[in-house]
Amino acid sequence: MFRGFLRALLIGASVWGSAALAATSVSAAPKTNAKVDVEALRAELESGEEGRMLSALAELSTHGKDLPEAANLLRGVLERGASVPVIEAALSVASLLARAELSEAVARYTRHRSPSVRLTATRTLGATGGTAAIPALRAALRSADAAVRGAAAEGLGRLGAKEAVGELFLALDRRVLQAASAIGRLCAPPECLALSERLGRVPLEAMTDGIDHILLRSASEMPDEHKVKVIARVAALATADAARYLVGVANRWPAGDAGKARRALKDAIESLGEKDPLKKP
Amino acid sequence: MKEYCWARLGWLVAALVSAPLGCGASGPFEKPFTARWQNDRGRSISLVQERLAGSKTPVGQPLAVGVGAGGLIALPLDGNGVAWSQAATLDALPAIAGDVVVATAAGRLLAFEARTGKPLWNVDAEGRRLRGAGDDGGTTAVTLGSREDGQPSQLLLVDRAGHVRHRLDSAAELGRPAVLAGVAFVPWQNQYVSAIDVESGEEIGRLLMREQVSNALAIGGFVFVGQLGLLRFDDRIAAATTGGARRIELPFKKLPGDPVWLSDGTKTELPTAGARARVRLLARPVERGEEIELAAGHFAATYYRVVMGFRAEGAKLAWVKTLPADSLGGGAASPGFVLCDKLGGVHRIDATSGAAQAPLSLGARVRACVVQAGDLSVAANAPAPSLTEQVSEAIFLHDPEMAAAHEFLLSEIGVLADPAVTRLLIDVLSAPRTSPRLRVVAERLLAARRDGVDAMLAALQSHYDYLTDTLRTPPVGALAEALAAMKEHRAAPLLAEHLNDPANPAEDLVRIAKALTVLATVEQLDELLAFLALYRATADEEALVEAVLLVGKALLALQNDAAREAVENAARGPLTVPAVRRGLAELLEVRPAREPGAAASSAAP
Repeated sequence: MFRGFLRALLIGASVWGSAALAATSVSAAPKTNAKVDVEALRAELESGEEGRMLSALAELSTHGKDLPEAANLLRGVLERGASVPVIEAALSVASLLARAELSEAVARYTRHRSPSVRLTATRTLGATGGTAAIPALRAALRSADAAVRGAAAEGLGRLGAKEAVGELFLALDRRVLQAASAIGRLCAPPECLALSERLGRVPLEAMTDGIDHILLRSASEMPDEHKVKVIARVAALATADAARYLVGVANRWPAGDAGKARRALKDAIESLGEKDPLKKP
Repeated sequence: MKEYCWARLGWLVAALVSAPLGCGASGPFEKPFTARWQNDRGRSISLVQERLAGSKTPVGQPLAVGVGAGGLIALPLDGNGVAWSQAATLDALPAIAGDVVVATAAGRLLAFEARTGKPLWNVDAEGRRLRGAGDDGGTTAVTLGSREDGQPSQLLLVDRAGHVRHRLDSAAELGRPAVLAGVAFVPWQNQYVSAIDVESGEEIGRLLMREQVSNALAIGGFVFVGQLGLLRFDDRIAAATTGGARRIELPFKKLPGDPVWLSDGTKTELPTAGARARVRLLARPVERGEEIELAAGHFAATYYRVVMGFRAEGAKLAWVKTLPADSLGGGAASPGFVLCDKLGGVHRIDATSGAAQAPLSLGARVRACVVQAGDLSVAANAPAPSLTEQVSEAIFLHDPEMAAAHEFLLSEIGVLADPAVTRLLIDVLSAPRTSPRLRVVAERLLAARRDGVDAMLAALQSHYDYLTDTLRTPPVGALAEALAAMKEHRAAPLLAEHLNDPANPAEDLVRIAKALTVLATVEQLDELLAFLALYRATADEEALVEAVLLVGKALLALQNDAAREAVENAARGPLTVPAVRRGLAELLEVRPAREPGAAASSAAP
């Protein structure tokens, strides 16, 4: 009876994605140091039976991090192919394991015809990284599927794919708003200025994460004069949201940094009628 | 005149007609347009022909006449005159008869000199509206139609000075008349053509047609009568009742909008062009030896903004000309075609190539238009674009009103052996604004192409790409079919890539996979294996199942161990969709795998 209950939970987990799967597996199979029988797990994953495979995947989600063979087992499932619930569960586990060697097996699913499989695979690549991840994410950025494009942009930012900045700009200009954050993470100083030039055209709330990444980088990565220009562009929006955002940036500003950029931030905040949270930066 | 009376009397005696005889007001015909008449098997009309033998109708001023907001706007087409206009509130489409333009307005019948627009005369129309007119240089014959049912039609014979020599009422509907050397030819009741002596107003001959007749036209000096086809009034006209007259009709061709050559001459045409005026056939009969044929061997059809030229022989599409606006009227020249559009543009088009001379202008927008091309000869003064380019221009108008023409044009050229046609079909299918119906036609034609391989391969390089605004997939299904039929192995890697592109419709996957059963080599093994793995257990629609099975077939055709093993495993795999499992098993000619739950002897995929 408990086994049936577990199975139902696992099927549900596969539908709801990695977070749900993780939660389910934790509750269904409490994390222990119990020795995992790899061969038994392999047999279950190769059984070709959906329920048994989902149970095995749940176990992998719990113990896989400590299991050197986990990536191989998972790769086998993905390469052989399976039903949508099994594939989605496998991709979710791959996301939890975050192993680079899974990227090739995962990448092919970014082109699956099932939208949910595509999206899960795209998100997973952002976690696994690996040689196949960035090319696949760059391709996914061109997808007809808006959710996949957004996930691809996020993944590229997370994986530090600086070579994709040009494409991310193309994506941002076509309303893939997640690209703003990715560009903020990846941009070289002139590209960062180019991102800030989108302020006014791209909603501020879509840009703040990217601008954060620019403004809160160290001075060695991002010269103060560039930060000053970016701050000026935010201030030029002259909205309450812009003022609140800049106050938030000031609150997160590295302590002890009282350089040109910090002073510009203070001036911008005050010009927008707000109080600088640190009176004497 | 006296001589003719004797001739007529001779015929009457010979024919032993019991009707009242004589050369006075009475004759073989009690009264023009009365049906009490015994068919004389062409004798009376033959006598008229003998009387008129050698006579020619005037060539007439080549002219375009538009109906503008303020009245008539006319433009001589031969460069021997200046544009003119006349204010009038027309109640019917005007007519050009030789060197005279006639129109009805405010209850009056008006005539103007065609070249200059000078008013010639102005007579009472008795509340009727213009139907048609003919002129022999001295007398204008005009038929008028009633405004209300039951009111008789009327034939007016008016001399240059504006004297109404005869005004003849007819209970039968009269068609458009022509005049030749003092004899007016008037079609009526859709079966007769009466020859009316303009001096006496008497009917001096009658032709019973074996086909519908509502138009008498002066073309190239001859009078023609008919509607669906035209019979020439010449030495063989008497044989019309037995089908022996010289006759010409346009070859049958199913054309967009079902255009007609001649409209029903017994109907008054309004001074505002409707759909019928925009969809017409244009052709000009000319003499060739003993027979008649179409000028330059071509005829034209209009469909709103498109003019299409056809070879008379076989009715093959020869050219297409796209106008800046809807065609409202036109005429066939000798040779060539002249059309006017609603913006007031007048277009002179070469009959064989479709090359157009620099357009002329009426100077204002028009609501309707009539053209008398006369003996104008329109020759190409510059080479025309290729037929494919012409069709391309017409199709990429993207005007929904033109859909029927687009489908027709594509079907016409889609079967021509020319790589440029293949390129055009690909362009049509790649264009986002192409209508679904046109897409279906283009797809079918593209799949049947056997040339233009380079264009096909180039098209396959393209994929859906959001970042470059390539928001349509290429027509991969049709391309796959055509390339497989041509055994074009260079297509295999491109098709294999499309196989795994989710932007392609599932229906196209079937055609891609089918092509790969013919074209794939071991170089496409990875893509084929990936497809099998991705969809053997997730194929949730019929097309996808079919594609998976075809991929299985392609894999087996590779004669490769890994490929066969993958197919065997998929055929055994409990998770494999049942229809796929059965199909793969049939391909392998092995029994299907055991149902899920049974112990697997080896790893079940």
